[in-house]
Amino acid sequence: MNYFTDPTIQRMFLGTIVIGVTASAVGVFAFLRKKALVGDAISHAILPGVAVAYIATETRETWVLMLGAVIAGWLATQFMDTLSRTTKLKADAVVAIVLSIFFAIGLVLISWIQGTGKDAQAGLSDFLFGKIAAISTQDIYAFAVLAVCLLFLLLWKYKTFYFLAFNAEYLKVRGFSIRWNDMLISTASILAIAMGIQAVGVVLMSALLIIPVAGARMLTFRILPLMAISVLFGVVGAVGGAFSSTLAPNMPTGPWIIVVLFFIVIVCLVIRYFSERTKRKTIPKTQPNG
Amino acid sequence: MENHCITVENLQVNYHQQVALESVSVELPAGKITGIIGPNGSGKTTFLKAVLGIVTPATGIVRFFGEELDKVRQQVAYVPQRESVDWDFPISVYDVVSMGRLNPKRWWQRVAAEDLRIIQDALAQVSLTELQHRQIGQLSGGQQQRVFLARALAQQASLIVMDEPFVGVDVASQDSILKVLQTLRDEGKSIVIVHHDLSTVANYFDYVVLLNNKLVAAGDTKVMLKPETLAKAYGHSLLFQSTSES
Amino acid sequence: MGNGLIIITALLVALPASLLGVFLMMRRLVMVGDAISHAVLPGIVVAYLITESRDSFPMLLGAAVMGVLTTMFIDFLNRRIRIQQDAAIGTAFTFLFAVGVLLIAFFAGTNTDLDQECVLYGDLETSFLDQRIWGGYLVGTGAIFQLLPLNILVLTVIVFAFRPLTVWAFNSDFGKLLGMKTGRWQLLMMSLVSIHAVFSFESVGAIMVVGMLVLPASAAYLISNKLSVVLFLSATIGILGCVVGFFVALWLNVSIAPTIVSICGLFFTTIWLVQWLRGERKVIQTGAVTN
Ligand SMILES: Nc1ncnc2c1ncn2[C@@H]1O[C@H](COP(=O)(O)OP(=O)(O)O)[C@@H](O)[C@H]1O
Ligand SMILES: [Mg+2]
Repeated sequence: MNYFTDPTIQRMFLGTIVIGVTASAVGVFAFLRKKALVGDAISHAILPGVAVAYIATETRETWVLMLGAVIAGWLATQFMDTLSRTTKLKADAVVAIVLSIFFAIGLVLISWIQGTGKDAQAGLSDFLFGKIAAISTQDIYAFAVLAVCLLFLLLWKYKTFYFLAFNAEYLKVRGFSIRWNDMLISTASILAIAMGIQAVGVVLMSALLIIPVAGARMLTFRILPLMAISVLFGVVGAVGGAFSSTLAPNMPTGPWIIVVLFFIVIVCLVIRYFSERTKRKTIPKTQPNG
Repeated sequence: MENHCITVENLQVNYHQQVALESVSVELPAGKITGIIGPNGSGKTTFLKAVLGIVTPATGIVRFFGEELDKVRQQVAYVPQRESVDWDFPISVYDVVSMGRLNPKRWWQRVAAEDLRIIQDALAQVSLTELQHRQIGQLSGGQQQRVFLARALAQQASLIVMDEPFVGVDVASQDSILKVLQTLRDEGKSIVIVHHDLSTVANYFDYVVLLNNKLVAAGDTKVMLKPETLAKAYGHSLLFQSTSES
Repeated sequence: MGNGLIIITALLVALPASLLGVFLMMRRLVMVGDAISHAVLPGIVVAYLITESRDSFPMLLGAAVMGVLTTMFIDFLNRRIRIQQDAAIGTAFTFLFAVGVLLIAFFAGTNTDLDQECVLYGDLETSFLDQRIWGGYLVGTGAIFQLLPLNILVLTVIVFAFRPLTVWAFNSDFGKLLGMKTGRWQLLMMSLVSIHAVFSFESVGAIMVVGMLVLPASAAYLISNKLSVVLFLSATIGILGCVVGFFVALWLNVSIAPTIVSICGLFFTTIWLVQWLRGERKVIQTGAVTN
């Protein structure tokens, strides 16, 4: 059997690449807005959405579950916003509260579905750690269309999003709508996360957004290289992870992708460390923040 | 021709049911350098943010050159307090200054040749041309402050509002910032600066507003700096606090 | 009988969590606590694989060290590499957790005790099967004997170090002025959180721990500002959540640990809504608007 002509394997690589590219591109802005953990909360919060969608329709159609996922993700975002506006709780507590409430409800629902003996068809527990084989060819085409739309949005508005993350107040004075742009980025994040959960799982999906850009950040501080390198890492991580997961039977895809990405980060860290050391030797240091 | 750059009527701001600014009414002259002076926590930043619509005031009317903010937004440049900026953010000096050329009406955020020239001019005016490709955290305090001044210059605004531009800035940078501001004033632009150090007021400002959770006094610097005025307005508390901070 | 043992186990998980959670919340370390509870997974798996059993104390303490190392790694990324804290957390713990899941998947055939499900739900339901008989009397379960010392340890630390912990919780600058070594208190608390994550893993799984840490503590913090009162209320809410959650889970025939967290979430949401609606009226009366 030729490894690269086998249709299931081809599908797997194609699927993870589409997901990896989208997540790492959207992740750049989640990172810049310091919302890495918000992404974590959203991906956990998607679980009850998927479960409710399944209970309500009794189908496993991807678009039905995606719809449930997006609604749950959106509700979680609103919940976090409202909590931080109306209480004295700090941001990290707000994230943890929403994450744990939604995820707990999701697990209760899944254990309820399992109790009724329906999980055999539903396979909802695949959403926890991800199973790339669960994705059909049509799904991948649909994801690819969505990915193109999201990438177009990012390329079109990246400057606004970038500057907004840096200094929102200035843009507000200049007449940019903070609310509208916030909503665009949040929606993009929710869609990218919802797209990835089948392959990566809700527990680790946020890492696919954040780790590529965290690695890229060690190599550059300019926005366009940051986006390019981050997407490159996303693809390498997705392909490498998918490949590794085929080496042994019954391996979940998500964790493998994360492990590969983490090794990329370690390499970046080493590069950064040594380049800083040589820089310090060659140029006399200008006083920062002095 | 309106001769006030900012007119504020009965401006009140509350944070969580706690009053931060109590019904301030004041008029700031156009074409001058105005200082808004008060001790830490006296609501100076809050005043600026409320005036610029960054925080929503409980009550109050604000006019810029007699107009509503929405009509003159592009004419108003805001320079934030240094400590509110994330200096580790992955952004270069050039990119910060290029923010001045953003236009919310434009669909595609393209930078035209004209914009490039304006950005380079702004960088040259604050002598940051050589450092334009640095990450903003790799600058000294004075250089950092000048980056944001350059952004305001690139915006070509007729009113520049700066929050504590002289804090954590070396004397040489203070002088060069002041020189740029005085040139701008002589070109007819209006400048409003938040400042907490009373001892340097005389050198910097044409007009001062004393603020301490409410309006204490406002007037020309020469009149205001007479010890009698100050004592009457403040007692001794402000004098004590401002010298201990600088 | 079995019910009683399960409830006691749940309480022994919830009590230290709701107390430690208060300190994490005050110091904005809740998500670091979440990271720890994920990061100890590979350590636990390795401990199980080596000793082939679930209650080897020294191995599990070794797993807890993973948690402390994670906080140090997050600190390193944050301070030295200047990666912002949220991304540092998100990078560090997801990797360790992924490694743990892979180890489980890899050895799932050989060790039936461990599977991906128990990482999520824990084994509260079956914990009472591991009974300890002493002198002919039932004195507890394996889980209870592991959790009891942890509870005593946490309570002792909080009672005897209440003063310095208060200073640490509220304002480390002030503590530094007094010459306090705030780093040490942080290390102590993070070690306790790690040990808690390891010992409660078996009962409630790795992922529900954060709910037990944050929900009672935040609900209590909405009601009061005084540390001792917040600690007391938090423990009360955690305990109530366990008891109510247990019976709701029985009634609905669903997994117990996530039900307990859901009930704690319900408590939190109720307290918040009541306060919000009352506060809303106040704001309308005074005419305050903020954003
Ligand atoms: N976002 C906020 N929420 C609650 N209180 C605030 C907020 N911002 C400022 N304050 C309070 O309002 C008062 C005025 O603050 P500020 O305007 O920053 O003063 P200044 O700039 O003069 O130092 C202070 O007591 C401060 O604690
Ligand atoms: Mg201020």
